[in-house]
Amino acid sequence: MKHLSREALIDLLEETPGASGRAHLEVCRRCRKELEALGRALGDARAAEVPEPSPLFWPHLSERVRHAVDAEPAAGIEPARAAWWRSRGALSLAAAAVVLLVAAVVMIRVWSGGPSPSQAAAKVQPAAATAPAESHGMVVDEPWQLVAQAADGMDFDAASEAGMTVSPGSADQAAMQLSPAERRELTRLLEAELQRPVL
Amino acid sequence: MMEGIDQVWAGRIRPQWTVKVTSDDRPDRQASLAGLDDRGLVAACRAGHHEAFDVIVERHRRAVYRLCYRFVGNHEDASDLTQDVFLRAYRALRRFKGDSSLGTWLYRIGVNVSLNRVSARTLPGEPIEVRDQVPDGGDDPATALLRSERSARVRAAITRLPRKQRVTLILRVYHELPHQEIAEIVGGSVGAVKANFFHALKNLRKLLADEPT
Repeated sequence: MKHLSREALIDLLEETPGASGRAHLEVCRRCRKELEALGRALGDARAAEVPEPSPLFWPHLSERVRHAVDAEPAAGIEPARAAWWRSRGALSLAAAAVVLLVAAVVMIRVWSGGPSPSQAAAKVQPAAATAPAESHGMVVDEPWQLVAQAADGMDFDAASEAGMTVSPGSADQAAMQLSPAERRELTRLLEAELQRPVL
Repeated sequence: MMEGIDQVWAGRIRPQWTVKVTSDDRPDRQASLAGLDDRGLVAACRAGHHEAFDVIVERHRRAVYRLCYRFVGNHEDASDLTQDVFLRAYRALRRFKGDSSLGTWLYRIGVNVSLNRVSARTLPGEPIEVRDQVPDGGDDPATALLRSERSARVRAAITRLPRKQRVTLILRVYHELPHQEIAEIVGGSVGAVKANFFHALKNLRKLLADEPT
């Protein structure tokens, strides 16, 4: 007599629809005993429960996963690019360089006799109302000083949160507008700035 | 204070305060994503909505934890492995094609992670953890304790099964995965999965019979 295959016994055990071999079981004691033993083992396995952890464990687990995931680059972004944008140091450095560049351009224009935005406006106002203050040889009026003070106290995070962002390529654009003499002066200023001790 | 504000407004003094506006609307966004199915959550996650992954974790954490527990037999390791499974899933989310369900994909990661962990250990020494079993309220303490011990013995016996038999038994009995999905996870045919299941049950019976009671 040919006995039931392992596959057929599993199908019978799980009561799979269309399982063959029921007729064989009626007449084969050995296969019947085999199936009963499998049934007992399955019962034992099913009865083995996993201990239920504390209800507080689940939110704690989610929190752990969230922290781990937050430290990862975003799922939909290429890792290298995401890592670059996550490098706040690099971003801050770039922003500081652009601010320095723009400030240098403005200073050069002031020294070379070009009008600052406030001076241009002052040309159409009475001289007494717009008397500029002199400071370190630079012509600085009051509104301009206020802007300079506000910018002085603002760090990159605060500027970023206030919605002031640096558009890509703006530093290049500013540099392209400089004359050769202005570029030389900018280089000198940047070098002098780099040599200043860090406080 | 008002005088200070007036002075700043008039440009006479420099502002000395920092104003930060922040909002924590993550729970709200998470709630709005909870209605999405797994496929939608994966798409939202890929589009940069981190909260979608929170929902995925919440939906599958129990099943993944229980799977890991079946392999390692203790809460601490199961907890670490569950975190690892989700972290790996997050990293690989761009590669998830959706050929299988998200649950099956997570199980596949869970099986690999768990097997790697238990491979690094000596399996016969696997502890039988009874201490953190929560007794069923319906049983008297003696019956509950006997049941806990019996469960622990069976779990320990399962950890002694050969690798493929163990995986097959765990996925079939406790997670009720179809044979076809188990075949996709462990590699092989449906026939091989049924044969593994057969041997797993026979060996489990033998291991439990050999144990001193």
